[in-house]
Amino acid sequence: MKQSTLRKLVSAVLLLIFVAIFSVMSDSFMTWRNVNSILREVSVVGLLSLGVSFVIIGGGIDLSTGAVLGLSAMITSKFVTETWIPIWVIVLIALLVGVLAGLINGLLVIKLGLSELIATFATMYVFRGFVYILAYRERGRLITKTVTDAQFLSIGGKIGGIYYMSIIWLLLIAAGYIILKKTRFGTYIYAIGTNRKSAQLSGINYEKIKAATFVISGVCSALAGVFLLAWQGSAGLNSGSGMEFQAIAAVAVGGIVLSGGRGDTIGVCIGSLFMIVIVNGIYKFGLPTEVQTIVYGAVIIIMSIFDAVYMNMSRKKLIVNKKAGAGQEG
Amino acid sequence: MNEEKKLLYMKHIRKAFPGVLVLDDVDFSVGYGEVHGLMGENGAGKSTLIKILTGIYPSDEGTIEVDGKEVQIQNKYDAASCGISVIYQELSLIPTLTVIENIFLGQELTKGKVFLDRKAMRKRAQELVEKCHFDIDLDAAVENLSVAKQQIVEILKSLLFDAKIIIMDEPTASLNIQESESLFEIIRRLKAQGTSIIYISHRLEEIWNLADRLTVLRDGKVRGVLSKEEIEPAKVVHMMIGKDLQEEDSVVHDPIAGGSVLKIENLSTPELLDKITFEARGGQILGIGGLVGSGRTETLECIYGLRRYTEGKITIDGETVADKAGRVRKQGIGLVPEDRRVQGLVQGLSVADNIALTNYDVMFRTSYITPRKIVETADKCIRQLRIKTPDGMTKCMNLSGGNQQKVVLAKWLERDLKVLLVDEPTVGIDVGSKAEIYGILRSIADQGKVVIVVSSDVEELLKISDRILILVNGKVYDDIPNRGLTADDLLLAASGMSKKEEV
Repeated sequence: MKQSTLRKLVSAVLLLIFVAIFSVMSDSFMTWRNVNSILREVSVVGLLSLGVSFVIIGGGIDLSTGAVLGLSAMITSKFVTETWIPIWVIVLIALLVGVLAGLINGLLVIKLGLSELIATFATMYVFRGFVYILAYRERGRLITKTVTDAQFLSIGGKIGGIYYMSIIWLLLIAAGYIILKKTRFGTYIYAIGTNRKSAQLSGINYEKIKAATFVISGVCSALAGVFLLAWQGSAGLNSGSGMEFQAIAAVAVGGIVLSGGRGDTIGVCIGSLFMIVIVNGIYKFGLPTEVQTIVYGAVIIIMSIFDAVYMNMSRKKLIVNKKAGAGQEG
Repeated sequence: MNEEKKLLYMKHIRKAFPGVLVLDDVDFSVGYGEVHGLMGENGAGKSTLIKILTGIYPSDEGTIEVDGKEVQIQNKYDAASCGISVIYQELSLIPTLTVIENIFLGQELTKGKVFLDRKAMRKRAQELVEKCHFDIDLDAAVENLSVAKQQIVEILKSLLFDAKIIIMDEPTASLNIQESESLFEIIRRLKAQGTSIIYISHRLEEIWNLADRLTVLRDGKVRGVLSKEEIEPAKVVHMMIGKDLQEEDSVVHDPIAGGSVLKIENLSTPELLDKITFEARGGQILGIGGLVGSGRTETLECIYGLRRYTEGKITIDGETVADKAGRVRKQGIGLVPEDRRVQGLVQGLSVADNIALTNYDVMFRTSYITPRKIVETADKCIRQLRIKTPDGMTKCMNLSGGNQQKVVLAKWLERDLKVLLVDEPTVGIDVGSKAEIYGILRSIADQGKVVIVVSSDVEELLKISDRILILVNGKVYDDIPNRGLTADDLLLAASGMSKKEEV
């Protein structure tokens, strides 16, 4: 079996084990209602994971996803509550904000040569700053305003008993898989993420591909912002804050190596589910929410240990195989 | 051979960099289906010539003709459209992608411009593989292939756009004997297909084996173009270095009384080594030969404490050697690793800092470091080993391979060594520097120290070793004094096929 397939299988099996434990321990875990709400929750974080996975496979990192989510949610909220622009246009504007955010990240990294960590770390603050500037105020004091537009809120609705956003997320996971594995563009993402110089020697336009991964990440984050707003009805100052790390954690759990060049969106799907299921299960157990963050950290550590041990094992196996091969030739 | 029949003709090429004339009126031609060797010491102008041919540098003067037509090569795309492709010393593949994906990288076949047409790509790749009788799994990830197989992928990549001339720069530098042999076979097949090859190598025997003609460069000038029959080692070396190399007769040096003694008894590891037993004495250079995977490097790693062994005993002058690298170093054992660029040196640091790096404990009594002492030590080493560098503050990455290796050796000379372990001392190093490095190793041995050299280069083992140990599959197959041995003897022994009856 291919190493990457095995890796995904392991996290999937672990996920199922957790699901089984939670189902046995809690009556309300395996209910249609709860599963549905897990799927809704995962579609928001999962969209960030999906976006950032493109950047990571391309050898980079994007810390600004949570802030882009917040910005998109705030802008959408403003347009919906304060203008009469049709909903579909507003959603389009939100997505354009995502494109713009991605281009800014790309610009800083490609044209100014900043490290991706620093560049997106900085834009995380800048984008969050715009959220503060745009936030609703009354006589100088910050207030929250709820979106009441029924048409907009219907985005958070269901079809056939399942939330739209869950379905869209799954469709995008599938689309992401096809892009990465079946298109020329996808191959180039792996190429620049593994060895930028070699990729360039093969005539690949590094700058274009790199920028595209940031734009994908930005658009996914912006869409997540729209979803979050449609689900919760209001955009807060800190909407999406901290989610960028949740997304990166999900991606890592899903077997996408943070140094780039490996992984696919099936891993993203499994990893995102993993993170949300654990939170939900712990909540159902009645454990304090503080425990969640500890469990988060623990899961990441455990999966990394697994990766380290496993990679080590397979490397040894490889050496032995090569030796056997050399022996045959002789 | 008259001029019209040449595939490639570079005429009167001249190239100067500020202050240096790198190529001076160089004529270089390659015929159809010809393997053309290109030799010269580092700095002779080989790489510059190739860079002009592949459009990386423009030439100041001169013309390039391909197929009798004058062409302008200004970038790698021009080179590719002229059918010229290069296989670099450091391969330029994407390890995480499969063989097929790598072959087609940047020139994928697609359906509707976006989606990959994997079927068509496989078919095309299969055709190429069959045409050349390569043995390779098209779906394997490149990272799981040996270096030799990776080279095949590079070759396939160039064949994809109908390369007429493939330039190979030191292709055997990281291959073992068998892998090199299969590369030579591949080169012969390519040649039979009518593909021409420019073969750059420091290894004379390879050129002698393969090349139809040989061009030798020295100081930016062509010193001679030899046909196959004219290629003689002494002549070529003379052309390359401009003087005769002092060929020392191989005299076996006896161990020096009172020199250090390294004893290895029944050394075994779970994966590979099987009761390795030998003794090395000060004053002698012990060469270790064998195929890749025979346990040569592993043996060195065990001695140096980098690798755990389950059984066995290692002693130096009767004292048991520790199994931790840090303590082994304190016992007077040093290692010059296989990959000087990565393991042996910190490239971004200066010569002086690199020499000091492993020697802070002997150079300074406290943690306080005085830069002056570091520079003085470096200057001493630079003089002693004749390291060619502007000064001690030059970064190692700016030195040539031979000089980098001297820096690695210098790191150990500062210590009171008993044993120096050297893994592949001269990979990718030119003939002149090689001789100097051999000289340094010999002088270390002459001080009563034990010198153990692992090498894939048979000629090298024969040249420097007083005794040669052959490992086969983790066992000591043979232990022979180097008296009248030939390359064939060693190759036979290394493949475990025949035990040399008598010496």
